[in-house]
Amino acid sequence: MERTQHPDAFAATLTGATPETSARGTQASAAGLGQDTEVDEDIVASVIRRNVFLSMFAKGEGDSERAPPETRIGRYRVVRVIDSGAMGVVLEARDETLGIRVAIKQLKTEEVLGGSGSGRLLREAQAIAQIRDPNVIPIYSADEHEGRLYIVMDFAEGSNLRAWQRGRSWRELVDHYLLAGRGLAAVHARGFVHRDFKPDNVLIDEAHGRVLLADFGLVCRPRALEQEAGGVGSRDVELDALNLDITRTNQPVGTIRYMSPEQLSGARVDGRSDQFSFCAALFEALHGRAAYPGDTAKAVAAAIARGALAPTENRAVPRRLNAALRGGLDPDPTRRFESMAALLRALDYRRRRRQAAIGGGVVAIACVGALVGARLVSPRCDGGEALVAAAWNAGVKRDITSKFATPGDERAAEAVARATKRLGEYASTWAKVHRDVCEATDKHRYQTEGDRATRMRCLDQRLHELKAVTDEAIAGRTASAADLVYAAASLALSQPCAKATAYPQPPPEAEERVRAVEQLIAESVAAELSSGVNGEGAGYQRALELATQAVERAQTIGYAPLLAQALTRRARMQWLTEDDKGGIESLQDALDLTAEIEAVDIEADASTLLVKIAALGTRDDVRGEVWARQAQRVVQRLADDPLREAELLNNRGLLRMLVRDYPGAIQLHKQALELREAVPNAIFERADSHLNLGAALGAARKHREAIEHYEQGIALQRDPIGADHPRIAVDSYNTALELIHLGEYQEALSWLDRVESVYRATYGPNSLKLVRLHQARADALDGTGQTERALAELERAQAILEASDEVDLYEFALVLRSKGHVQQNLGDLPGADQTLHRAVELLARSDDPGAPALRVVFWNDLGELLSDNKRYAEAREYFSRAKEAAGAMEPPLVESVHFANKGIGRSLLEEGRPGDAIAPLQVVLAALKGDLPPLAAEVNMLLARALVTVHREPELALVYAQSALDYYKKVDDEEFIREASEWRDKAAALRDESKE
Amino acid sequence: MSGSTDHEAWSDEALFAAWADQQDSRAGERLFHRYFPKILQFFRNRLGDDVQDLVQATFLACVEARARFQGRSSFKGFLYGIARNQFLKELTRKYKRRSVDAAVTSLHDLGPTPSYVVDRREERELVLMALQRIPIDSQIALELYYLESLSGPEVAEALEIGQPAVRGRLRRALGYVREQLEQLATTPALRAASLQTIEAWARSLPGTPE
Repeated sequence: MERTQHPDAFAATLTGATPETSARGTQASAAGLGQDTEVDEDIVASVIRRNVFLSMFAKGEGDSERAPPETRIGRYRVVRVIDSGAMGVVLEARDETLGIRVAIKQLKTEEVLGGSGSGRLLREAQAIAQIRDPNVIPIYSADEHEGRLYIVMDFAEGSNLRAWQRGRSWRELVDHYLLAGRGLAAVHARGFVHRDFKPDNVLIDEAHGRVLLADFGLVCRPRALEQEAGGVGSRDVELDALNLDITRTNQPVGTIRYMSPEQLSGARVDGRSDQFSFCAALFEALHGRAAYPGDTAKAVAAAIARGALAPTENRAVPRRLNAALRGGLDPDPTRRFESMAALLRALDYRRRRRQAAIGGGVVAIACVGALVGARLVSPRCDGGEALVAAAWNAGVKRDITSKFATPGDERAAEAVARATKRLGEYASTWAKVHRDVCEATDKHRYQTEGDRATRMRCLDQRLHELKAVTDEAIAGRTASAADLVYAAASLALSQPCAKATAYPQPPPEAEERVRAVEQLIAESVAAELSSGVNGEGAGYQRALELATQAVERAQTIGYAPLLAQALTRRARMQWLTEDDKGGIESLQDALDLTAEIEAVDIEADASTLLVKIAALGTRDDVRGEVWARQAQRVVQRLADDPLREAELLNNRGLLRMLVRDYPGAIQLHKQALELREAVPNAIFERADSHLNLGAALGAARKHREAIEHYEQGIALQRDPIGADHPRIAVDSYNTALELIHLGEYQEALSWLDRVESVYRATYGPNSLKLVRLHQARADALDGTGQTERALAELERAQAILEASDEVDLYEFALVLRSKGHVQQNLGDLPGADQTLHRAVELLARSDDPGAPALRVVFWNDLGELLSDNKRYAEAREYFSRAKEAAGAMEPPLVESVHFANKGIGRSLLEEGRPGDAIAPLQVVLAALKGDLPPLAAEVNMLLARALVTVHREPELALVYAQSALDYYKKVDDEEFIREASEWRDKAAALRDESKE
Repeated sequence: MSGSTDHEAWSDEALFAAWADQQDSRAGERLFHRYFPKILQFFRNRLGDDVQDLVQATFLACVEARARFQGRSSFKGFLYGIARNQFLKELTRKYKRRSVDAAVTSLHDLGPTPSYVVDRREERELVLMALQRIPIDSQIALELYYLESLSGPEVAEALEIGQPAVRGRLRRALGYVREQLEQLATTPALRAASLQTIEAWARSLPGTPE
């Protein structure tokens, strides 16, 4: 292949892309590397050449002799190229004298250093070195090396703000930008302008928790200030070291997207230009798009000139914050903030309320800031141990131990030991978190004082709760050692406090009254926890009273976050004492308050609890879903708070259970579990997830998986609360139910025996829990063919119910239904009939508004039961009655009508009248129109059966069977998959036959 | 062991054979020094100065891939082929995509690239911008052929394509550049000047009868 010479233009074009190649070389020439080596090598090349050479060829001692020489800049040995930009290259180097790592930035472009420019930059670097601010990178020295200026800085290990900011909440973003903004304010205070603020130029030093403004490559001192300072520097109007008239070129916007319009046009800049860049960067971080969009500098300049600010995207960002950003992004510098400090105040979303309360004014704010600072930056970092010791110490431990230890009762002694161990661990964790939070501000200035105040408040609350739990125990209100173990192990974790986000603090004069309310809230928590699992006792009532007091006292203070917290606490106790309506009202009040303030933690707690009440209390899935969506929006605004996030997922899972969306519930509970598993010590939260997941899996007929989760829940809790704790008995009971589903009756029975002893010891001989247990045992016994014994269990259950004052009629009816079923199996048809009718009567007597509907359901149940027992005519009587009653209700119980029609069809089919069955079944299918997929599947299957049996319309039968099969495959129901396949095959065979 | 003066006169292929097959590390050092500036430049043109790891990976990979070199004619094409692969891997890592399709993706598509210089020669800047906006492999082909003086077969080796395809690849690449210039040029004069440059390149395609 022939080739001609390359045109020079191309080579020139591409080599021009890296100006470093023309920079003065280093020691490469001295190395005698021969003709293969390019002598004229820049620093980046020589550093990389040596490093790569060493890694490839220096295997032994002598090998490094031939290595290219070290690159030195002054007394620093260059180790690595960290980064490079338009202005310079950043190198990691070692200060051999001091034995420390430093970062060296060497300017690249020679023109900057030409003549007076070099001297000016050097003077500026010297000036920057004087800026001592915790948020400005410390500069150690500035010097020249081979005609080029270099600056030696602190080496900050970590990332830059741009890399860090991905996926952060708006609060985290604003907090970090505020710290970087302090750095800018410090630069301005010295009379400089940074001129190159962008997230890439802010270092996040994770090791020391610092946020550092860096890269002063474009820093300058505006002329006016220079003159004031005595005419330092040149009189030259060319303040802009680069003299970039960028708008005339097509320079890609990536490098200039934060520049102010005055900078873009090459006009004079001052600190307000940095404000613009700062706000442009923050806007982009918060809203995920450029403040002034455009592909080229020209387009951006045009957008700025038009004032075409991009719409705000992230709706969680408070409006006032956006307004402050708009102020800083004003194209006209004179309309921006009067100073960086003023901008930062406007952006500090926590200051807002206080500002309003105090009446505004920059000076007043500054004073308040100082006051609050003085109160909080007291040397409390070491005080955590002392504080916690007041709540938990050897004396308290002794008192508790003597309270519960009964001579000879080893189980109690063991429980007390577990409880005190747990409390001790809690206390030391608390002290550790306290120190971390304290030092985060004092030592590292990594968290704002607003955050710190909120976090300390959160920790105070935890400490109150610890104290209240021990007080409960010592006062004798904790019923048993087991209850104390549970309370100790259920105390809310301290760790999440370290991540709490700030909300406005109370006015100082109200501090004492605020603390009193917090105390009441803590006592309410302790009362709830200490009443153990037997909440019907006095504990819940007391907890409710304390919460109510807290609400009343908080109302007199007028500090919204506290009142919202108290209301949320009261709501929980109202719900637990069966006052769902009261609970919902309390929460709605709390949410009205949090809508006015930025207290997202409290808002999240309240809105999430609302979902729980809908799921478990009022069982109102429609409102529940609406609330869940609201809660979702709140929780999204939280910064990294897995427990709260998980709680909402959990409650949404409970809601899905209401509407029998088991796959949905399973998915949500799995997500919740995953989050909870990542939080150390969140044992009960995880156990709850296992329990709920087990319930959802069981309902979805995934019995094995369900049992696995119950067992995991049991394993988790066994250590903290002991194997005999009633909490664990719930898991055991559910395990037994799943085993019954699986037909493993013997295994189920042994689980039930264990549960029974715990239930009897905890709830007494007549609790509803025992009713359910007897019922379960009856099912298991029935399964093993011990029908007589099953009947005895059901009679025991019935006896408890008969003796009880308040009977849940539905529950009772179900027991009777089981009993009737057993009686039928025993051949006692009159007895069964009597029992079943008694059940229907009970429902008729019930004044429960749901009873008539339940009765219809029950007639259908009866019909099914009779069908199962081949009493088809009677069955159809019940179905007809159900159908009639359901249709007559206002509004009609459409679903029950469908079920009744299906029952009629099925009974006809089973009775051997498939031809008659087809019509009612087709009515159901037509009416369903895709609703109730499980019912539709069953009807499809029955229809396939009927058609195949009468040898009619095999094509249609095939369609029915296939629809049923599709559904059962979707829900993964093996038994029905088998049956549906069978009917499909038969229909197919029939079709083939008829074709022949 | 042979002295360094001997090595200096050796061909790339002889040095590589001595290094890779006979563990003659001095031959390796010689080869390294010979190609280090080119490989460094290859990466710096695209990724800026933080490229030490890539340069290192390229030289290491070429030793590891020596088996693949058997029977090939040009070490240069082979080495650039490895550099290209390292570059594509880096892009994949950097942009967290499953893979970057170098035949259709341009550097510009991948987001902001390091900018090296604010150049006042607008024509050159325009061409640079155009090069950033054409598919990565087209850009590499142009660079290797015109700047690094690789022959047609060497370019074929570096791009892992057949020799007959090189001419078409380069021609298509120039077409892309032309398209971009049409779009990017802000004034007719600038467009005319930059297109002229491209026409000059096009006249020196491999195997073009002048």
